[in-house]
Amino acid sequence: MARLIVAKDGYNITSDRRYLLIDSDLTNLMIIEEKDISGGTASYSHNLGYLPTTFEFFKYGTQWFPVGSPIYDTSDSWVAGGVNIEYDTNTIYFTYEWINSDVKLFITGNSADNQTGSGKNTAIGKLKIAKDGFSIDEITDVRQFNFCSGLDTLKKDIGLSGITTIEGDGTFTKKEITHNLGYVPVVIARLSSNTYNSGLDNTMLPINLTAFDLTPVSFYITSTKIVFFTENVVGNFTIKYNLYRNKIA
Amino acid sequence: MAKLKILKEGETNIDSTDIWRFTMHSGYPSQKIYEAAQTTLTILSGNTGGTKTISHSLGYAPIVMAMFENYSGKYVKVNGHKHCYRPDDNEAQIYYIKSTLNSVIFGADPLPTTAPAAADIDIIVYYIILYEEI
Repeated sequence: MARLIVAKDGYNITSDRRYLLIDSDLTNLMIIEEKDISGGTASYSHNLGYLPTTFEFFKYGTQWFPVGSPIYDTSDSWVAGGVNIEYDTNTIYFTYEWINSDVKLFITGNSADNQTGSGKNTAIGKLKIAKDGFSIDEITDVRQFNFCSGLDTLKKDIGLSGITTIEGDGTFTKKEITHNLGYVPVVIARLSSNTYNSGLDNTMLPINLTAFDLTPVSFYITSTKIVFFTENVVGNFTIKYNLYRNKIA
Repeated sequence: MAKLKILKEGETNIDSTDIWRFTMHSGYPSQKIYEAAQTTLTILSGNTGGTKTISHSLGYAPIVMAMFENYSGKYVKVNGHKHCYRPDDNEAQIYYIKSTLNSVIFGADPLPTTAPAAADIDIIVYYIILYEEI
């Protein structure tokens, strides 16, 4: 069968799959909805009938934190715990630890392969690629497509992604990475190694080492920078991070 | 070199430098799925934690997105460490995800107050592994 492959600028179609835009044999992560949730909202109905894959951030002032992070303000002081989010096959539930923070949700139509819920007519765009075994004229559920041009994707900025190290001295310690995009971009990060506790190596962020979010390795994002931080631990924390040209706010 | 750009609905400037206005732009690779599946993380009777390892052949640490079963019958999105409650008996646990060069590890660690499981406890995990390195 014919195959469509589009590579990133500077790469070619035989490059590693990390550097491709489209490979018709592979399923793209496709964002079907970006949703701004006002602080205090108890729930939001996505009505997909299955558990979608999501990523989400919450706001404190000009700062946006990944869900699971505690809140530290721009004066480097601990403020509160963050927002907790639970899902079922039709609804997203929000609970707030002390502060009713606004939440930004990115809901993809993708799910684990065995999710059999009803789905919705989520596939949009003029260029669509169906998964093997499906007829393009007969399907509308994004789970049955490898690509739909009308749906947003996570667009990685390789130049603004990288690696950094926080040198934790037991007090609040941070490392600032300037991006200067003028908006708050999506960031995903991982603790690749550390000298505090090797058992934490390779863990995705945010990390809370004790109950009540009092010993974090986490980060927040503003319209000009990413700030990685830790507190109450001594050691070097090396963090790999990816920045995506997707707008939280 | 030829470029591929696809604007979001309602956007009109194909030459915009605001990349967020595009659904796809050839300067910025998009994310493709390596594996999307369900697994079960088990805390064995008498234990306070457990892990489930999923092997992969990527040779680098990929991005993982996962939902863990929680006590309420709902699921929690786990980014890194997440304080949660195991499904069978509502005991507090820390759910976490690790991503390594050859595997993804889903885990449940105890808090100091976490009681051992009275019987095996299965925690369903739905996950997606991307081709993207982190």
